[in-house]
Amino acid sequence: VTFQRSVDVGYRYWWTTPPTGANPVVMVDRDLVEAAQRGDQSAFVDLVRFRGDKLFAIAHRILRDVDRAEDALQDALVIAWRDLPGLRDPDRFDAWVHRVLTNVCIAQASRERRRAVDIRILPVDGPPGPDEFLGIADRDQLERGFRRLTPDERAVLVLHHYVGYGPTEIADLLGVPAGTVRSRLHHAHRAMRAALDAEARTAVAGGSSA
Amino acid sequence: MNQRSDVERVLSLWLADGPSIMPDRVVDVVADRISRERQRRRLPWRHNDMTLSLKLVAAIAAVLVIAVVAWAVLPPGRSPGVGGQGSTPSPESSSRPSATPLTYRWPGALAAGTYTTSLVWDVPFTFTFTVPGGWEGYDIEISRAGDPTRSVEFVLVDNVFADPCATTAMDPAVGSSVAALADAVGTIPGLDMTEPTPIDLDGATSGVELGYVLRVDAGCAPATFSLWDLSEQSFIAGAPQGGARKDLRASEGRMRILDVDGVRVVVRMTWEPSATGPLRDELQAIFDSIQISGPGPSPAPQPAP
Repeated sequence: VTFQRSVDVGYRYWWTTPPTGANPVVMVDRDLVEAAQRGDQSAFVDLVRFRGDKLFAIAHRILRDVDRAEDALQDALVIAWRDLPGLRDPDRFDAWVHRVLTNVCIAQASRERRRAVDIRILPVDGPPGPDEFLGIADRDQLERGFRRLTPDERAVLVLHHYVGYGPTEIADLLGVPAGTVRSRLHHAHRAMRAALDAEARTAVAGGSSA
Repeated sequence: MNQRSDVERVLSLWLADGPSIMPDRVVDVVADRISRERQRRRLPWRHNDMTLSLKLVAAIAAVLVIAVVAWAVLPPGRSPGVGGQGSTPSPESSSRPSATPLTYRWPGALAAGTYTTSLVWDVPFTFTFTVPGGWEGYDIEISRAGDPTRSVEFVLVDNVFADPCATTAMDPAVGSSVAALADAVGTIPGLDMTEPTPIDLDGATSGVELGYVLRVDAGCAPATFSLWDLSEQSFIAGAPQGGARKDLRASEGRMRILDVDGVRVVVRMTWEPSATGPLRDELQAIFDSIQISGPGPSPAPQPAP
């Protein structure tokens, strides 16, 4: 892997599937990270621009709210800037900033759960997704099921199914045993399956009574 | 929809859908905020490439600091004794240090002196200990500058690992008593443990103390050896959320498993086998200086009227 200081390379490498056998984590513009570690604010802002979309998407998927995702991302990036000199291996920047962001999202989601136990589920905004497999009812049930999960379970689901980390990588990221990650994944899958099954039963009952 | 693979596929599709463009204002806000936020500088003595001469200068400076502090703090005619294991502390040495406790900040270097801190525990405990110069403070442990293997950590333990290399938890999990944990530590493969001896820190905090050695034939490198699964209450929100801590390169240690107001607290010190006598004495002195205040005893059950 070669590292080049280039907007296109830094951006595109993260978003495209890496070459076979390559680890996307090493696709870091090392120059930018090292410059930011030395206090170069413009280098850090460049890093934010290159990786911001992905980080924002992660935050939104954990928190399920655009404003909260923005707040969490801003807080996480400021923490990342503050603590960046302590990052020993610049090649691990992406995993490291994912950890910072995930911890901020979990903390924020925990506060939200304490503040508002009853969450009103709003209709899903925006156009339908890329796959017609998911109907509106499915999405609604997924949204309800997801919001019932603990913040830790939400984070693990997103890191696994959206970012693509394996349980061992997530364990390293969050600083918990791999068994704990598998346990959270198992519970989250079971809860989401129950949510979808409930929707299926409702649909069947509605159909039979019609 | 009942198949797990279906659920996972649905989740992947569902999560792929949603906003994926960061609003531009985030960049502006972050740029503004970091312009006012100072970076935490990495401590120079944490670098692995520290030269021998620098280490020598740091060691001499540390010795000088210790000497100056000892000269300034100790009353005339009193020599700085070091409480060894099993020694009976005098009334003077067991009392709270008269000097005002220093403010504990982590991560960072600790000035020589006495600290009273809750570390990052999420439960209301306070720990008081005295360190010489040359030590650093972290979230739940203190360690010798440049040598993280020589450390003292303060933890709440949920369970021990039946397989310390793969961090496989013991099943069923260890009980909540001091004796249960001491027994469980003795069953960890690849670990030789001394017989636990009863200790009583200050007449109110009792427990056991034991020593241990990680055997070379443990089956995993010491750097991948993990003793136990920590309680998340050992950490505040936002800090690392519990889990296993590797034993770095240290393969020897002593631990005190204590009952503090009904809560099982573990204080452990570790060192490398190559640590010399004076270095071990320094560690032991810190270990012996530790005092713990818990949240207070649980209220006794009241008889029914």
